[in-house]
Parts: sequence; structure tokens; C-alpha cells
Amino acid sequence: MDMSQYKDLFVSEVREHLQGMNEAIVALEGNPEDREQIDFLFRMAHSIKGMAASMGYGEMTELSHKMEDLMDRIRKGTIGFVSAVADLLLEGSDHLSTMLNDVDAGGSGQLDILDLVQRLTGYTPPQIDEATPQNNGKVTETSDKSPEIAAPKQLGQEIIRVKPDSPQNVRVKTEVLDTLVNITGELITHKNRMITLSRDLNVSALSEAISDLSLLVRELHDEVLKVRLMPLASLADRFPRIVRDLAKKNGKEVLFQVSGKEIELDRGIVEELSDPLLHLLRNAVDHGLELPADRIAAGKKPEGTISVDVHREKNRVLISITDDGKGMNPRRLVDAAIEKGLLRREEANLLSSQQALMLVCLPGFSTAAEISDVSGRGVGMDAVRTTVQAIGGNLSIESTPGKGSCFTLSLPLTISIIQILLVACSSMIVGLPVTKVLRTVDIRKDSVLRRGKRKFFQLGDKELPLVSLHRLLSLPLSPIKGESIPAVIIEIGEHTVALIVDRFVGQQDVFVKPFGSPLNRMKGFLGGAILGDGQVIFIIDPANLL
Amino acid sequence: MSGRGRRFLIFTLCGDRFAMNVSDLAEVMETTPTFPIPKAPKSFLGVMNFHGAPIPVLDLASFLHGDPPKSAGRILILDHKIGSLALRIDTVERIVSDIRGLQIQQDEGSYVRQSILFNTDKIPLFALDILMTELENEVRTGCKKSESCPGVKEEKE
Repeated sequence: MDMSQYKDLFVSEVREHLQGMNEAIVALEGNPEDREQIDFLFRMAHSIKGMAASMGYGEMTELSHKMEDLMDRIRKGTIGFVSAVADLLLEGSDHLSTMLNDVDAGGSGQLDILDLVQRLTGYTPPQIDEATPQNNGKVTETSDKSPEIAAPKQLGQEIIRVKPDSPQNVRVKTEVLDTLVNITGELITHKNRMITLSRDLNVSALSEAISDLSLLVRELHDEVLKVRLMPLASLADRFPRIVRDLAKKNGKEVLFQVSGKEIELDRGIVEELSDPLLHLLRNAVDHGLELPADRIAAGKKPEGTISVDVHREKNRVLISITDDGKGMNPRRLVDAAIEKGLLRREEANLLSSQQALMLVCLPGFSTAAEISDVSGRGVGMDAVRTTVQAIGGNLSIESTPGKGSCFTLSLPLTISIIQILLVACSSMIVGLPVTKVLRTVDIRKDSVLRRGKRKFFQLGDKELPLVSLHRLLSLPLSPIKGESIPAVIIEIGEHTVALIVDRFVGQQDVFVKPFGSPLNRMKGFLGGAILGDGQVIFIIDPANLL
Repeated sequence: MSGRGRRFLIFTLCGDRFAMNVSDLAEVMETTPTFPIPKAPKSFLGVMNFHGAPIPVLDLASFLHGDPPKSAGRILILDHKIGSLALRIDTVERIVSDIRGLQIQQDEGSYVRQSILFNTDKIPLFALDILMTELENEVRTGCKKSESCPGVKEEKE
């Protein structure tokens, strides 16, 4: 019987089982007596064995069978769930994952498993302290499980599974969802075009019909975006295993906590978050937390805590990665930046503590070896900030020396269809994401303050620098007509600036099309969009344009 | 080396003839309105709306020779596997395929690795990967590396 038609389903289901296995193994290390987890682990191995056998993948069948045997010995109480057992089972899970990836890529899922099979079969418990779990690398996850949602466990996977046990739900290929978003985006572009045309025609019946259509398109847009949402659990479920392995490698003890992983974000954003979050977790374990002996010497518990907290605030999602490690000293970061020629002393004097912490995100700020003398941060932080900003988010850092650090990512719910503020600048119209705009102002010419070559103006109790968008876009400066200067107040990292434009054009929902090569190499743009009159505009990413 | 099974579009640019793999092209079209690209190198005419996607249009003559376009010309849209780019060229001459006697030989030039021998003519085959690498670099850094023209070189003896 030809089973190839079931391959996608097989790969998707085994991937979910393997992720479940990893989570259960790490959880059991923290609580080896958890009978429910032991039974769950046994069932996962058993299911994988059955599925692999029915598909004819012999080695996957054999390996999962041996893992099931080992789990059976634990279930019967013959052996205890100690760290060595966790290591063996995780190694087995990794092997199965490698074989599964091969199957997914069209291979036969073959791998040399002889050595591992022998170690699984011949496992004998250590002679001393068998029942006592080892402390190093212990990771306890404290988040609630969301049994009703089984999201894809590996990014790039083709099938999204929603409520798998309910007959009212179906598996949908992610490319179908992408197509739906694209079509909805095109509908919005065409709706905008119809609005422009109807304004010229000035036929009231047509305007009403287009108004009704606009409402429906808006509703469709909202529903399509909901379908594309996926819980952060699809990423976060991998974290306990990763933190466990890192802690073990570094000889550290970690209590790992995750909360709010059921909160949903657009799939495109979740995919982009993988690397930044892994960077932050790796930094927290590698450089944030102290070694157990150092923690005891500092009057702390030997076991450090790292937590990932996700919560929604209006139309943004905030993800915080907090550790109770040694924290960072802003003064020492400033000194390091000056020493490396990244900052001048006079600039350093103007920095607040929070701005000083953001220095770790400067490209070339540090390498792991160098930064360890300062406070243990810096590796890949520029990449983290760049990625977060590229998906319309912001990164902020709080830290107290000796107490720990907190890195917060503030993210939009969706990226493909956004509301923009259209502004005219010389001969161009460009868009600014409304989420980046604090407000628009008309600055009176006589209220502009000059200091050397720089210009400022007072907004409330703040003095804001004036920045010309013409200059940033390499466009000719336009003469200022009238008594006021139109400006957009935007926040870029820790700075708030007034971006001078020629005039405000309006606000609009647009479908952002990211640029391909070569324009994707140009910094400062999220992509392009097509307006109702067919005009192609550029959407500015302010953080990367300045 | 035989050229059997491959198809080439032959086009003209500043009086010279060039060839391009048809499989590297998505569409050939008339020129269409473009909109300015901020901060872009001068050889970009602008960005066009290609079936709802913003695609930059590079004036190949300007990029290679620094010459402004002398006629409306034609637009070659590259296949997405090559990049998201359209090229303005002068004219499209013909498509050659599976023709007896069509040969491909190794060649050297700024944007050329091979030439096709068609009838008695030797036509440089445009190496799009070299063009894309240079464009990416130019867009990123704002500076142009090469000023030379493909195929314009001394014939080897």
C-alpha cells in the first residue's frame, strides 16, 4: 500500500509527539515521581513506534521501541528517573527528530542508531543516590499547559493543527493561510482604488456601495488575521529543553518559568522571534546567572531563576525575559563603549541609565570574552534589536547590578496589513506605521531653537531634536511655506524626535509587501505598498532609517 | 558544449547584443510608470507595480555605461528565484532555442561567463548572479564597484 500520501500527516504528528516528549522529560527531571508525566512519556514513545511501523520506517520504529522499553522500566519502578535516563531519552528524541527531518525532506529516515540502542537496552542505574535527581541543569517549567491547542512545534512546518481532537477543526497548510492573507491584502488595495475612483465620479450610490464593501473587507481582514494567529507556545515549548541543556553545559542551576505562552501572535512574527528569544535566553544562562558557588557567596539561592512572561497590552504583545543574576552596571557599559570608540565622553554624559543599558545593542559593542568583564551581555544583542525592530517591535532593557536583568520585547499582533500615516516629502509620498507615531504637530517657525547646526523645539516639558525626513531620504529640501512646519513625533529606541515633512496626506490601511533582493538590502524600509491610485509607496522603518 | 534544450532571449543595449536565459525571466513587457526610490542609486529608474508587487526597475544602460535611456525600451522582469528586479533594455530581438549549431562557450567579462555562438555571431550571455551580487552591494553601501560593460573586452587570440 502506498503510504506516501500520509507522509505530511505522519511528520506533523510525530513532530508534536517529540515536542511533547521533550517537555515531559525536562519536567520529569524536576519532579521524577510525577506518574502522569511518566505515563504520558510512555504513550508518546508507543505512539511514535506505532506510526513509524505503519509507515515502514524501521529504524524509527526500533529506536522508539527501545525508548518505550526504558520508560516501561521506569513505570514499573525497576529504575528511577535520574539525570542519566533523561539524557538518554533526550538523545533518543534528537535522533528521532533527525530521522523525521530526513523523512520530511524525502529521505528514508535512516540513521546509525546501534550505539544508542545498545545504551538504551543496557542501561543500568548508577549505584549511589539513584533516586536523587542531579541539581545541575535542573529546569522546572511552571507554565500551564494548553491542552486544547496543539500548535505546530517546529517553525517552518507546513501544517498548523488547531484543536486536534475536535471533529469541527481541520488541518490547514500554512501556504493556504498565506494565500488568504495575500488575497485579503489585494482586496484592501483594490478597495482603496475604488474609494479614489468613486471620489472622482461623485456618485452617491456608488460611494455607499463601496462603504459597505469596505466594512466587509475590514471584517474579512480581521477574521483572516485571526486564522494566522498562533500561540507563542509553539516557540516557548522548546525553551525548557534548551535552557536545561545550556544550564547543564555551564554547570548552573536554573528554575525556568514561562507564563502566558497561550497568547497569540501572527505566524510571521512568531517565526522571526525564534532567534532573538534564543539569544536572550542563552545570554541569561551563559552570562546573566552566576555559578551556584558565586550565588551563595552573594547571599542568593544556588538556583537562579529565568522567566519568560508574555502578556497582551492593547494591540501589542509584551514578552519579558527576566533573570535574577548579576545584572549590568550602566557606568561600566558606558566606559566599555568609550574604550571601544563607540561613544564620545560628552555624549556619554547625556545618557540616562536606561540609555546606557541599550549600549549593549550597538554593533561591535562586545564579544562574549570581552563583555564578561563588564557584566556579561552583548553577544548578538544588535541582531536581537534589529530583528525586533524589523517586525515593528521595540526592545527595552532594565537591570540592577547584583539583582538581575529584564529584556522586554514590545511587538505588534500582525505585520502584513498595517495602518500607516501618509506624508509628503519633496516629490514623494511615504508611509509611517501609525504604531510608531506618537503624534503629529505643526511647529511654529519662531518656536524653533537653534544650537549650533542642530535645531530643537519644546513639546511640553521635553526638548525634541528636529530631523529632516528629506535629508534622511536623500531628497532635495523643500522651502517651508507658511508660518508652521509639519512634523511627526516618533520614538526611536530611547530617543523621541520630530521628523519634519512637507505635509500630512492621510491615514490608510495598507498591505505591506516586503522587498526582495536587491532592495531588501536598503536599510530603513519595512517594504512597499500600493495606494488606491496605483502609486507605489515606501513604508519607513524609523528605527533603522536614522 | 551544445545549447540544445536551453532557450535564450537576445536583446540589445547601446548597440550591443546580449543573451539571457529565458528560464531566468518572468515576463517581458512595455515600459510602465515608475515611482521614485528613496536613497537609491541613480541607475534605478524607480519602482513599478508588477501585478501588485513593488519591483525596482534598473536601467541597464545607465548601470553599465552611465548613459541615460535614449528610447522607451522594454522591461524584462526577472524570475523571482533570481531576485525582485526588472531591467530596462533597448529592444528585444528574438528568442533562440534548440537551434542546430547553437553553441555555448566559456567567456570572460564583467557580467559574463559564457557566450552563445549563434550563426556567426558571438553573443555574451548575461550572468545575472554577478549583477545581483553587485546590485545588493551597491544598494547596501551606496557605492558602485564595477564600471565596465559586459562583453566589452579584447577578443582572445
